[in-house]
Amino acid sequence: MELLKNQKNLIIWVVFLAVAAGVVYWPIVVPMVRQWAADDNYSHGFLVPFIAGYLVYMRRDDLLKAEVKPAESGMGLILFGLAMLLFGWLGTEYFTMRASLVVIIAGSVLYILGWKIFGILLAPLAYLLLMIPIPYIIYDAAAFPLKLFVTKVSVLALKAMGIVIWQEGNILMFPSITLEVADACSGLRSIMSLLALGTAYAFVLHSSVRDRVVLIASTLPIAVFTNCLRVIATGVLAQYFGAAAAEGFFHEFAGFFVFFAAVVMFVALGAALKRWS
Amino acid sequence: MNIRFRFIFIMLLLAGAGTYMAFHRDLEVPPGRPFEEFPASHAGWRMIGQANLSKNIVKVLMPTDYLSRRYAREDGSTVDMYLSFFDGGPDSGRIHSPKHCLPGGGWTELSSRHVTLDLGREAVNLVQAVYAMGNNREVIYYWFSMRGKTMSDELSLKLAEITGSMFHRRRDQSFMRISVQGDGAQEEAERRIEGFLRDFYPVIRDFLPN
Repeated sequence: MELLKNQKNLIIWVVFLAVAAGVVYWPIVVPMVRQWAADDNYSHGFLVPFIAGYLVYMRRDDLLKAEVKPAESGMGLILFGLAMLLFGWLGTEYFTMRASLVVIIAGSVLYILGWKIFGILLAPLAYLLLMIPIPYIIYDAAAFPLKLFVTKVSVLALKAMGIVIWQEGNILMFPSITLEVADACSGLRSIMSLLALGTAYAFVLHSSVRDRVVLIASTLPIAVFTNCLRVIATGVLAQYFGAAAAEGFFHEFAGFFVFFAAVVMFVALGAALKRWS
Repeated sequence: MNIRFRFIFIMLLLAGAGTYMAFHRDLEVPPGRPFEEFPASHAGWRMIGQANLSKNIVKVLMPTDYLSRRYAREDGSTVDMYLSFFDGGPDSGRIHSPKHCLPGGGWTELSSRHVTLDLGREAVNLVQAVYAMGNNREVIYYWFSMRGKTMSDELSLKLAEITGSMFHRRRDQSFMRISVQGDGAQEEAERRIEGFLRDFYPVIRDFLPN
């Protein structure tokens, strides 16, 4: 039986392969890293590879003891990844191109090291997908209904508070000013950050499958809920303190505050789950 | 098969994909004719207005050329047309579907169906939709076209981009939208749009690449 820890010269070949993949993927990965730097909603992208690395490190004992048993089926995964790369590239679909890198890495692990090690590395590899900004088509398809939902709930709440308001699509009209519920306020973007951080939290600090599933699933309602709060607070400010209050400093501050509130709710949920188990 | 060989095999596959991507370039296809030559009057229609997109919108859409015009007939009935063209080169953008853009602007889709409209020599696949914002109603016809083929859904457009780039090195595409604003009289709006299309479709074709 071949164990991973006895494969001494494996590391040299991994470096060769990483360089080859780096050359091919350079024009695809560099713009993605730029997007992390430019877009606050994906700044968690910088953390994702390190968190994935830490998830591997957590299982180092299992890994070193695992048997190396190459599996031919890995080639299927590699070819699938290459097809994703080429079709994505021909159709300028960035998500497909970028995700293909993760698929090819996963395929290589399976093809070279086999199912046992593939199983151990599956969670960190899947986690890498969270560093990729989601595709336009899905973003658009999900953002608009979410935006309308957030607007609708916020309008109901504002009306219940006795504020005169008129809604058209994702636009809120007050007697004094008009507010638009922008993409950022739909919650979809904070869902991505919250999902990335929440998944890391769930995997590192919780070991039960139930806790992990509940925590990861809770990111969606938490993000939508906190974004409703944000729109409601903006509406109240707009009503009583005018447009400047709603659009200026507060709007910036609210973005941060909403994310902070979401993190607090998430950690509280984690603590509650630990107590109940 | 030993492990070293597996590494080499994967690297060869990656090199193949990388080489293809490095040498494959899509062509920059010019429009059939420059859009500024688009007739201001034709078959009883007269242009009564022309709009420019804001700088920000141009930066997002990155069209090679576009026209946003309003035409009126003798009887005063008007039609809005928006035609944009993307040459498929590295600096050109691509079509943004109204299915996504309009709801973002506060419009709600009341109805939308895919139809094929017979325009004399050609049948055009298009979307016939009604959007509303407050009391405003807008009847909208739109389609995407690539290499002379008209399409009305986003998935076909994506597939046409992939196969066009793969087999013909062409990704040039155009988007056409004709609309009539009004408060309800839908059949009249549809008749007007279809009349406009019958008159103008050959002209539009003339301004797009084949």
